[in-house]
Amino acid sequence: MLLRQHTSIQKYTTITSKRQLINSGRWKMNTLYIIFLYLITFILFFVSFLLSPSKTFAAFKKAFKLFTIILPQFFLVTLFAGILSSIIEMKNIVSLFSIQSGMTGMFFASLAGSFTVFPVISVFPIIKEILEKGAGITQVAIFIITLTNVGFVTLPLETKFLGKKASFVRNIIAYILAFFQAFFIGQMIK
Amino acid sequence: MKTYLALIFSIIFVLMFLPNATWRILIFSFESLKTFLIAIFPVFLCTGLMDVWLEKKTMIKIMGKGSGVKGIIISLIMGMLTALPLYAVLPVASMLLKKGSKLSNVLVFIGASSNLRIPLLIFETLFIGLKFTSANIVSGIVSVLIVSFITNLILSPKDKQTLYSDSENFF
Repeated sequence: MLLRQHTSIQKYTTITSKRQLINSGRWKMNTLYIIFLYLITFILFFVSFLLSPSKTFAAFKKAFKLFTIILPQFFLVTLFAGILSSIIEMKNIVSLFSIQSGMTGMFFASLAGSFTVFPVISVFPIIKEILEKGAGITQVAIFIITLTNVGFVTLPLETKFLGKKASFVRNIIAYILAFFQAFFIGQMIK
Repeated sequence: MKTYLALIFSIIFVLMFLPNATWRILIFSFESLKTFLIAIFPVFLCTGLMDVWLEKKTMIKIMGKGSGVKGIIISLIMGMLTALPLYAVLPVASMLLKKGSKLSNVLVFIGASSNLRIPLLIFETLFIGLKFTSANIVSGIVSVLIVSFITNLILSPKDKQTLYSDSENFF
């Protein structure tokens, strides 16, 4: 039992280090953006502190309260993504819709996109791979769009902040419009 | 309370049915939680600052009733800069509602943040190409506007009233 767990950890670490090696150049862009965000935040806080220290502390308190509200749900979402990634590999899902072309492929891709919670940026290397193997750009586009904009799994979280009606309507319309968006992108790239 | 219960149950579920992958799942979740928290921390701090410094009056002027096209453009740009996944941007959106922004503008903000965020656009350009990204930006802006318009149309004034009063409870 213990041995098995140990090997699984090793497997995981080797996979991630390989991926990091491949993408190390690209990951820098994301870190740069995050550093930029932190810099702006720091400057804003500095100015705010100069103007009024008490208000700045109040802002800190509010940010902390937000954290405590969202943290358990956040952990739930990431745990769900972890379970999902252990049951099904993202690569298998993506290859499933990349083989199917036309409307069926688009339908599969849209379902895969809207029912999974995955950090989009980590999916891009796989997408590049399947595009080089000849997957359709329309299918890839609808997958990216639904992955970012439609979240049927995170709907309970969304209803908490936006209300039932607004979040349901928003998700359904975004799902339908994703097809049009993908068609447009497909036409433009041809 | 409900979320905590669901959290505990899901952990028990993982441990019971997937004993081989338990460590892998936990490591994966903590890794992604870490990356999310690093990205979210500055945004939440800025949200707190906004809540303290911006008065309701000025916020209504910027993104509230009568802000018109300017309000839409401001919320679009704010969303692109906020750059968070959908479920992380929701508390920020509820703060905007609390400050009296129009619901349609808040929906534009959510759509822009999840679909047109700047890091995502950078990655798209690097991995797929500039043509794809530019087509995605154009169609994305149109779809975000349509989504916010239709959702705003379908919701009755009473629904909006409850939404605004609910947003007060989160802070």
